Amino acid sequence: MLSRLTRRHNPLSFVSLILLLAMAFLCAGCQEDAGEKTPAAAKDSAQGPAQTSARAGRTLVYASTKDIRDINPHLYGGEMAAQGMVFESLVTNTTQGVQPCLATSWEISEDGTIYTFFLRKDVRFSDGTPFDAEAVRLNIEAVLANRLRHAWLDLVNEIDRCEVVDSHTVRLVLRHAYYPTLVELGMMRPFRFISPKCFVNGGTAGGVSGLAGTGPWILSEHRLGEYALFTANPGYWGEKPRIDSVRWKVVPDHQAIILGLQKGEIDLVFGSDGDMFSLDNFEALKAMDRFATAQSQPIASRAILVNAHQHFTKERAVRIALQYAVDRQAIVDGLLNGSETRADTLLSPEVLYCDVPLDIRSHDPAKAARLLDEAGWVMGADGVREKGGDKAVVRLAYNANNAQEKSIGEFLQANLKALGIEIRLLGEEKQAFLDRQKSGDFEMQYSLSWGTPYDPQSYVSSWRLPAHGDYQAQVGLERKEWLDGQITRLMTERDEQVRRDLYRDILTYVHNEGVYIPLSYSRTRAVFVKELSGVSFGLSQYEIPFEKMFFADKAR
Amino acid sequence: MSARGQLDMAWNVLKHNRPGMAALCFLAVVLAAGLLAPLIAPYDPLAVDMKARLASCSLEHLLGTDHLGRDLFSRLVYGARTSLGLALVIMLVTVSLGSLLGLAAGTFRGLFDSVLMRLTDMLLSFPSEVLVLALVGMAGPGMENAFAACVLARWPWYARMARSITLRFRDMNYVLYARVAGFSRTRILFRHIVPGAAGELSVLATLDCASVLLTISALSFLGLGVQPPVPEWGTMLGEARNVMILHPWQMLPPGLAILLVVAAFNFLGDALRDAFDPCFDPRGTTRRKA
Repeated sequence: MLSRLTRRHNPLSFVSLILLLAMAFLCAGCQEDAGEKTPAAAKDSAQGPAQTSARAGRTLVYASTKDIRDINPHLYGGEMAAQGMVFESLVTNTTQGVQPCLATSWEISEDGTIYTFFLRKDVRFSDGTPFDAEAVRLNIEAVLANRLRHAWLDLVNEIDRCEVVDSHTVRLVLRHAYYPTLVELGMMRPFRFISPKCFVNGGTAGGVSGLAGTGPWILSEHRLGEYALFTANPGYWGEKPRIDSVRWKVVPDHQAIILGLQKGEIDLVFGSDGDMFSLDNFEALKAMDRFATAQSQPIASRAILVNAHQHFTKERAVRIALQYAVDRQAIVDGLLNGSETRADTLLSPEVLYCDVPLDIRSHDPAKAARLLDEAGWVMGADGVREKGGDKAVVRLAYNANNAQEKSIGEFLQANLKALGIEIRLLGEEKQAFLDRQKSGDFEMQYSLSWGTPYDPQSYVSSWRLPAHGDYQAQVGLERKEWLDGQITRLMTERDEQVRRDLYRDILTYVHNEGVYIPLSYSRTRAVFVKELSGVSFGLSQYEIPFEKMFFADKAR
Repeated sequence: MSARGQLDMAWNVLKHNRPGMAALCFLAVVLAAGLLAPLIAPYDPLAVDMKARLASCSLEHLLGTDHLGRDLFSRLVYGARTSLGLALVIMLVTVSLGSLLGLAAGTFRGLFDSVLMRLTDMLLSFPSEVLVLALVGMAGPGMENAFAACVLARWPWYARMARSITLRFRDMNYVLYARVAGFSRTRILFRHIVPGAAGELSVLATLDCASVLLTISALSFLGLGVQPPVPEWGTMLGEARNVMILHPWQMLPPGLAILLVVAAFNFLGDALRDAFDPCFDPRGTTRRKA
């Protein structure tokens, strides 16, 4: 009897269980909503009733897949965009060239080895410490104390010492006349200034005790993996931001970011190269009425790095064949929705010094097949080419969290399969991807140049460092030593024409060896709510000019 | 009752269990579709067609195309091979390995038994999903690694089960008679114990097939399991997720495929449990219906 009773109750209890679950989910949903709203409401009341109606002082919610992490300006662990919000440099790179920032003017000695900077006088770090020549000296010395870490930036090796001339004048003495000095001083890191009071053990290499900078924003709250809150710096020396605060919200999933935008929880998404969403999604958002979108000028180069130090790809003929095999136009038209320009050379001819005459290798599978046949790689019975028992198999490594790299990889896979080359895709977590890059354990790897202002000098300069994938891919080249020598020479070459010739030699050699398969020149993209105005792009793909943004008042 | 008779009777019960039989038929159809994929699928599942990206359902492409213009229906059919095939093979290997060790431990006892059981205790103390993720994380993504991780994380369950069944059977009268009659230990093991254990193990294995399928799909969804371009339901789901806002319906085919197959395995497992349960009265089903 009892058992029959329970049996009869079974379907009923099942239904009630489902209902209960549904209720629970609903409640959870409500709670989340409430949780989201309370801080916002609290903020509104904190601003006082007079201000709540004005939208100009609203918090800007920026969503990123990445946390800002440690934004110590002299290290590389943090998000560059966040470092740029808090810390400033002596000079800044703009489309009009190098412009004053914390230094109002500078003088360069005749022989190009002594730079004298005249500092802005009204500047204080956000902890109240005055920004003066001594602070500059301490910061530069802190950077130099960690020379090895900054080896990618040649300026660090070129600075001999930094001298204080008077309270607001500093002199930088170089070992050679290093031509990109001003450009490299203006970069996002490491030559930015943090209050000397934040130093730990007289330096910054081992961490800092605070994050007081001179920039337009102050990092006022940070919860790792959740959000970071930047408030406008009330004592900022320049034009003060028109937004009260920026909330850097961490949303690890690309689709969740888009959902957040649609729900109105996010005001701005800003990013380069599939970091935030794929181009398909960008196009879809662009088509929606509710959002405004913007795209920067072509800023960096998307390419596939081909490792000349690995089996199969070590043959030049193979690398050249790969160049002909890839249908770049189809990638640009299909995967990138025609929104980027096809790249025929690694660096765009528009980049300084890079307008070099090079043979363009357009898509030509027949030629690629011929080259492979001539090199002895003949089609095997299983549709994969082989030579002396070795199979034509390459591994293409990419960062699994990037929305764009995987689809490009899959497309290449299909492209090369038709030619008898098998690509094994290795989608890895960012760190594993970087480790693989350092160890050179790949045949092909996805590569993005650093973009302006790093291209070409800092990018090319980094080719000499074993920790970079570029070095690993090039180390198998016959004339790698010559290449590195030319790059070293280039960095301290004072004659403009010789410099131009050196760049030509370097870029021609790399192009002819086929170490890079250029794909396209990428852009930075932004999607934002319509009320937000002043969204623009910095010179670098890594900076976000929050200080120029503001919420337009809705006219009533 | 002989082991053979037990199987026959189980089949008789199963035959009359409608959800169980429906699940069995469904799985057979899916498996057949996977095996006959080249005949059923209208396109090469790997053929990229950039001109027909993200197409919607049409006569040309029954379920539309994905972000590279590959036919989704073809990929779904070929996906049955990978997803279901992989799950079945993993279960086969796991069950064979686990029960062989378990039977050996139960039969021979002694040091081997205690060492093996402490090892299983250790492995069982981790949730198996966490163990799989950790193993794949260490060994790196890939089908082979996912395969190995699934087997490594699951064999202890079967070893334990097989051992306890062996211990239960070894003192049963018919086994004792066989021993008295002078049969060798291996003969007793394979003639008298294995068939009895097979029933119980198959119930667990069928239920577990569902969870292995989910594990494989989940790993592939995260990009840790089956690597592109091999069609696999989890991978397809992951790819569909990237265009979720634009084409939400793309999630449905692989999602439903996983849901239905997992449900079918669970129904079949339940039906098998009823069938092998010696206390279960087959007429009970008819009574319940009335």
